[in-house]
Amino acid sequence: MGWFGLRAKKDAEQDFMEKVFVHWDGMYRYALRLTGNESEASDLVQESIAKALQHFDRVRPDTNYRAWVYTIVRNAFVSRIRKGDRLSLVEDIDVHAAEPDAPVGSVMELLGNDKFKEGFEDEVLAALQDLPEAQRTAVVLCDIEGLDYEAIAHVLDCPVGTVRSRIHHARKRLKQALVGYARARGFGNVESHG
Amino acid sequence: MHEPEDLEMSKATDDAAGRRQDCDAALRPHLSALVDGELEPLEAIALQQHVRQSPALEAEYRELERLKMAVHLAGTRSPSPVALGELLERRCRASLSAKKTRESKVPLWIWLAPLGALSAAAVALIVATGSTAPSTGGVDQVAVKPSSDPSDLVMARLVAFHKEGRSPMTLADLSARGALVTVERLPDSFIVPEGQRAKVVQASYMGCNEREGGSTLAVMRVDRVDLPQRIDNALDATGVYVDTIDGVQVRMSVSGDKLYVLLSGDADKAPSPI
Repeated sequence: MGWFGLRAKKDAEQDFMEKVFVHWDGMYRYALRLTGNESEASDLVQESIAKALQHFDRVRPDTNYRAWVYTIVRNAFVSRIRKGDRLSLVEDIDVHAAEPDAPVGSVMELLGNDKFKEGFEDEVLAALQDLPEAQRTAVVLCDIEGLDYEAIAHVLDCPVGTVRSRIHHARKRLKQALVGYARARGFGNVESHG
Repeated sequence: MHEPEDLEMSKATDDAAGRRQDCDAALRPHLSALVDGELEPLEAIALQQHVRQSPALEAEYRELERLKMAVHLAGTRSPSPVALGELLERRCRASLSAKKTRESKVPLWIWLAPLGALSAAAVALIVATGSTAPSTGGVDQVAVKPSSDPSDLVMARLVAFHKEGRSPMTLADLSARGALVTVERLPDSFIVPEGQRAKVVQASYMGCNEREGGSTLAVMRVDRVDLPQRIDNALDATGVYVDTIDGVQVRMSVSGDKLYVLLSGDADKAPSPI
């Protein structure tokens, strides 16, 4: 079998449904985190499924299809940005490399406080949305979709070490954002730690 | 006035503290990878040993675990729109069928033309159903038919543990072989009634193991649990599996190498404290 061996036509439908289509809702969740908008996420998933359908018979059988479909979603999203659809440009991770560690410990402890818990998940999602796209993708695919670093590296087209770095920096930023949330909610005595 | 020995001892203590801080700073960037199970085994063991000896690193490790769980739960709390899935499936099958019969490429415009209409329909459906989502959240949309087969050993044992308030020792063998990371009783307020969804992130902070009724959270190593094929398939496909077994609502989700199992409802009696 060559790198782009053709698969038997008679199995194409079942094959596609089992290997690609089953990931549609994961694609939607990822698209939602990329676009921050349900309507645009739906568009992005439909465009991505259509592209997957177009190229499916040229994909190697041993491909990690889950990583492949997320790659398609991300490429479609980045392509939209480049075409000037909307949204900000993808930021580079190194911009944030020198950030200090976030004061986070006591914020997480505040989760035991009912007043603090209210709206916390919304805040987590908002903080995710504020991350640079590459960091957001790394964290979303890791924490929400459960991909391993190697698969995420495939999606981001970067070394595994870069994925590790992006997740580390993304979590620092998330924690910083939650500190801001705690202070905005009147928990002013959040202390630095960690 | 300090004796020279005291000064040397003080200096040595300061040096040791300084070295620990340097060491913590050097290891801190690797904690995320440890939480994600992405370090090589020997790396992980070495780092875990250091974390156990450093209160600061251990606190940060725990925070990262909680943050990871918070992100997972926030990101999976809303169901993907069923209507979108159904439309996509119909179009996929139609396109593949047309491709097979005509042996020609499916033009992209078939997909792109109705995008606006499709997304509008999907959004309309979200609006129509979103506010009345059942307690299982998006789980009804998982493309797996609910099945109630209590013969699934691990599931049945967890259900019995939750429902009958069994002792945690009845799960000791699962812990011994590394399959069960933790199991916790959760207070009633763990489930947000109006949102009908679980906030696992609260679990560590809400007086776990003290409630009467409520839910049970089990965290397991996904690679050390034998699950029925239908559950494996659902988790592989969607990351979430929901079922009702013996009257108990079971919600399973995977993040990294962890399997989170939330059991709620129909507890026969108050469980004994863990």
